[in-house]
Amino acid sequence: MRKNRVVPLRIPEHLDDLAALSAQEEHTDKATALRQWLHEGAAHYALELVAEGRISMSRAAEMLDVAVYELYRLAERHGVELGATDEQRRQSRALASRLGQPSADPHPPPRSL
Amino acid sequence: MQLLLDADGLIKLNRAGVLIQLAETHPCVIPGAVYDEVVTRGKVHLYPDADAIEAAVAGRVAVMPVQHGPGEPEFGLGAGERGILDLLPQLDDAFVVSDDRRFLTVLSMRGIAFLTPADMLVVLARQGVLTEAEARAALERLRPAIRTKAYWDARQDLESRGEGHEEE
Repeated sequence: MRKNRVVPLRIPEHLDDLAALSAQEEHTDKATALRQWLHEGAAHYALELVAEGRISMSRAAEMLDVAVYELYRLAERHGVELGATDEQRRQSRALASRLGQPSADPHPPPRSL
Repeated sequence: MQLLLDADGLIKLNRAGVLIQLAETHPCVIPGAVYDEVVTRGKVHLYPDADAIEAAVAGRVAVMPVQHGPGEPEFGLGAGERGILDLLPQLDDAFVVSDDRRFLTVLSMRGIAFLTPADMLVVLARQGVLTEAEARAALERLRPAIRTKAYWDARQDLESRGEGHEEE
């Protein structure tokens, strides 16, 4: 669990009212409701950074303190396509063409340490 | 030829259902940090894929500990990808399997060869590790997790490879 940091934050009254409503409906407190919103927004922003190739999926998971699977789940839920650029796929396909020869002598699998 | 897999490569190839076949026919290596990201942390958060990958990796994939020096640049990468960069100089004739745009950018800048998981399926089909039908089924399982263009490219490559070949 990461350490928390106290951040003084001024928020508009209407959002404060909405947080109070959310807290009431979710049987929690207002601060928790605000933290949940903050986390959802942060996750969405991190996914944007991943999609743009500015950070990796693993780095995003580290920064959000979640399992990397959670980000794949969020990406699919929000219809965010993640993956190689066109140029990167071109490079990958070029290697695939070179490697795609019948393997006459498969390597033995290594042992786990 | 050795394959280095990051979290993305492991998760997607497991999702495609070919991780075991891949690891039994090609020497696969992951840094300990990738194992922690995918298996250890995934199990803590109760993701069933983590259990499946743990079982697939056991006895088939070399998990290598890597020390990442403090103060080294991170390039927007996680510990697992940095572990791969640290491992690469120790391995001969290795390439990386990943579909992570940021990681592939760093690999490309360094001139390191890589394959996306979709293209890995194409290679496995061309090498005869997977039949045409198995590769297509694997690609369909992978489809929700990859870009639409990547899916169609791989499908086209599988079909062009299948021309004149006997179907299952």
